[in-house]
Amino acid sequence: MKILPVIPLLIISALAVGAQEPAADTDADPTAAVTGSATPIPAPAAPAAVPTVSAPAPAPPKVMPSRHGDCTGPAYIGHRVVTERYTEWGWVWREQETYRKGRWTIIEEQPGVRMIPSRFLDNINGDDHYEYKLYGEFAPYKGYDPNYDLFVEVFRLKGFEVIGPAEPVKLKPPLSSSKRRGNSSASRSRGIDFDY
Amino acid sequence: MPPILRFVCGWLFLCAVTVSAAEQIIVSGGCALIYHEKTRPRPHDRYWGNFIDTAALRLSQIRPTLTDADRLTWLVYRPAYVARGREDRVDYLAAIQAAAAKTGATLFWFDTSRELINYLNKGQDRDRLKISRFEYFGHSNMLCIMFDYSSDLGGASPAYGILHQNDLRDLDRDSFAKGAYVKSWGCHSGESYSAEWRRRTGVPMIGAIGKTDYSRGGLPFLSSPGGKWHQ
Repeated sequence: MKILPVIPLLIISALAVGAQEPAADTDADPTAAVTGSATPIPAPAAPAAVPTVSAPAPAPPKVMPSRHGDCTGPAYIGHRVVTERYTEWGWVWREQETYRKGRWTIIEEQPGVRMIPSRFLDNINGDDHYEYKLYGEFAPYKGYDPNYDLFVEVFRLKGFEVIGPAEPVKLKPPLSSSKRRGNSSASRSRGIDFDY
Repeated sequence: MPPILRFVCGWLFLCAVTVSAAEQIIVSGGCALIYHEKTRPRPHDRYWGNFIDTAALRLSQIRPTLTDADRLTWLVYRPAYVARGREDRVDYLAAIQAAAAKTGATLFWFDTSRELINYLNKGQDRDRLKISRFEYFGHSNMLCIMFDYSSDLGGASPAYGILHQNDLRDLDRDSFAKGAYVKSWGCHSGESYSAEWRRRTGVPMIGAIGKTDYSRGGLPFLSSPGGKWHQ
């Protein structure tokens, strides 16, 4: 009779001990715990349905503004041409002229202020054969294309307006200065190896 | 005149001729802008100081070999470091000045290749102070050395920022001492430029066949298979 008050205490103690036991022990290799083996314990099997972490949404594609910069003053038409090794931006001619007067041109930008249109795209070469109204002027100095040993016009860009996609113009970039001088070695016709 | 006095006078004259003062010149071209290079397949100049650190190292190597009468001069193309400093928000001109102070070289900025040519021709009294060394660190191809590459213009150079081999005719060949040491540490200079340099100045230039690499620190090394120094 004297032990009756102790029974609830025993029941509570037993429940407490059970709660301290790790539930995962049932899946573990029992020998590992006993022998202290260095063998890695296999991870528990994955549940049938693994919840997937949703990937971050892709950034929305960049959009080229229809106008950028200072679009005042005389306008030129710019026809973008993407070429493999030429550094030039494309052809530029006066608005009132035809493309036949186009000049093979490098664009002078001002980083973050006066930029070529494709700077606004994910791919800087993503506007092949687009045409633009360009505002600015030709610089008093020439630019040097080291890949083709070529001196070309430089256009100082102030701003642009997008015209849109256009048919390729029937103009060919000039030959390299080396080729014009009559050096027709294969390496020069491909361009000049250039690095530091 | 007694023979002994004649001997001493002759010896002194010989010393004056052989120990004449000379100017040793190192030139650093400019680095590119990340703005232009980040969209290119093989970007150049992730590090702004490729042509500064190497030049400073070379100056420190040369310094102990100078006589008291010699001048050690460092010419740096300024516009590229102004532009890159604006991009990186760092005063690179101050950093270059500090590097020059450490080497003991006299630092001159130049903003166009014409200014460099003027210095080589007339920057000192070239009758008395010939150029006994000229070394270049910077961008180049086989026909041209480019102080400005992909800084003012993306992937290109303004014509005022290059020294094309066709422009070497403007160098005064009398500016250089006989036997002067001339070397371009840029790529491909040994494939055409160095021969034209010799033809125009009478002084041989050592240049690379193939590419040179500045990326590991220290002086640039030949990085093309079969690459070699050539003059």
